Amino acid sequence: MLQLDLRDKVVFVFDGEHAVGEEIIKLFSEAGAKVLFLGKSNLDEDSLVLKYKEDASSFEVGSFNLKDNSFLKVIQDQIQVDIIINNMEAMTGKDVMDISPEEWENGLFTNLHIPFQLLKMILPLMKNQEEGAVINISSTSAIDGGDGDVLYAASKSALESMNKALSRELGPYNIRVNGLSVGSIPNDKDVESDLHSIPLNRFATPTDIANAALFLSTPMAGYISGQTILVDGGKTLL
Amino acid sequence: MGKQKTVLVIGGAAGIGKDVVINRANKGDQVVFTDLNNKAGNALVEEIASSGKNVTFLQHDVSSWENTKEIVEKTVNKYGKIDILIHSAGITIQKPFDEITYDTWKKTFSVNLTGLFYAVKAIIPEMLENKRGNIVIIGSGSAITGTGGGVHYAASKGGAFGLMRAIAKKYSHFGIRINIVAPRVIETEMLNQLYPTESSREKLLSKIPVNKIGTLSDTTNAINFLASEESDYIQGQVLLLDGGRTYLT
Repeated sequence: MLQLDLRDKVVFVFDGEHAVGEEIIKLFSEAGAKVLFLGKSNLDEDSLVLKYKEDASSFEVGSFNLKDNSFLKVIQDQIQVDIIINNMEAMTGKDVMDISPEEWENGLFTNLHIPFQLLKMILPLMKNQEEGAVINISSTSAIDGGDGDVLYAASKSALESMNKALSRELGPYNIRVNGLSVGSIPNDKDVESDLHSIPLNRFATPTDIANAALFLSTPMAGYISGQTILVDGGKTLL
Repeated sequence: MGKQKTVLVIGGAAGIGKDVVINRANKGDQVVFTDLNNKAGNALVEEIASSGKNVTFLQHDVSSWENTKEIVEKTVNKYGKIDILIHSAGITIQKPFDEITYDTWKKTFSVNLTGLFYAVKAIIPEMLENKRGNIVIIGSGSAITGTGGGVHYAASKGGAFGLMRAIAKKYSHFGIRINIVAPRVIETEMLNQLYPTESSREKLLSKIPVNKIGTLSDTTNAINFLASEESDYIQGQVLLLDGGRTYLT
């Protein structure tokens, strides 16, 4: 029997502004969870917006500057977090020679340093609860180099190693740490001919990713920890 | 393993990097090595000079882009090219997750991952110019197992995997090879600190199928193989150097 009932659970989603994040919010809300999401503001590149979604309603909690970490103070006020999903994502789309040190540092800040700080804040809460699930969303770029964006591929493979180390440390607290390695979600550049390299003959959809995140968050995945599941239509390893 | 090469070893004054510097100097290669530790760097130059070989040492803060650019420029100015980059610089500040401060997290990444990014960013144009080049990164088994060094260390070393694969993806067609040697336990001073007693050594050995702790020769042999023409068809790979420990126990 499927155990997708997440009533009484609180899920914290980092970066809930992208298509995948939005789908995660939708699915988890439908499963009954209260969803907190922290995403980049559409208005200001240097801002994060924390929103709270319960049932069908959502409201903005506040806008925070990315650089001064003021958003961390808001997290401290939370009393329960059962599931953390990290989908923070910055990429350069540039060749290694053209990525400036500032662009690199900004990318690491978004992809790794913010998630680290959020985890530092939230995990003590989860440890007290002696139960929890952490999901870091990475990319098949960590395995195959993607389109050659060193910032993106490096950040995502760093997350996958972090999953392994964290799962060892948090296992005794009944906290599972896993990852999703996401394959191609179509964008403007993708064309039908690219499908030939994907055995399932279709691109990933945000729902594919959100479904896998939902599975890893539930007791159905209760013995899975330290893993990164490829959600790529079979492309990377076949 | 081929003719005289120009080899730049980043992080070459101690441990795995030092052994490679000595080995390549003895082979007759043109060796430039860097390290933050000026004293240890100069001492190694003298040690090698006493055996009749010459190497060049440059002090280097790998977390500085300007400094890294300067290192590559100086090496190219001296020898006209760089055939092989061996990237061995790294730090370990072993701590449980609860005790990792934000400063420790960032410092670990600035050396272990940003330092690698700077080195690759600086050297790729030179290798493109030569239409050839070989990069060997000293990674860590921690990136695969999540053990040893802590979450920050494992993550920073894991970052090297993706970086290496992105470079391989982009530059394989231009004659540039890049691979990682990922050791687990190797006989170094650090290992003596981690396993100081005979019983702790015995316990460690019992986990390693080949019943041996890795030596510096093991790492240097693996690095030299990946840096040679003999491994020309190996690209974008992680060579795990663990005596069978990771997957057989």
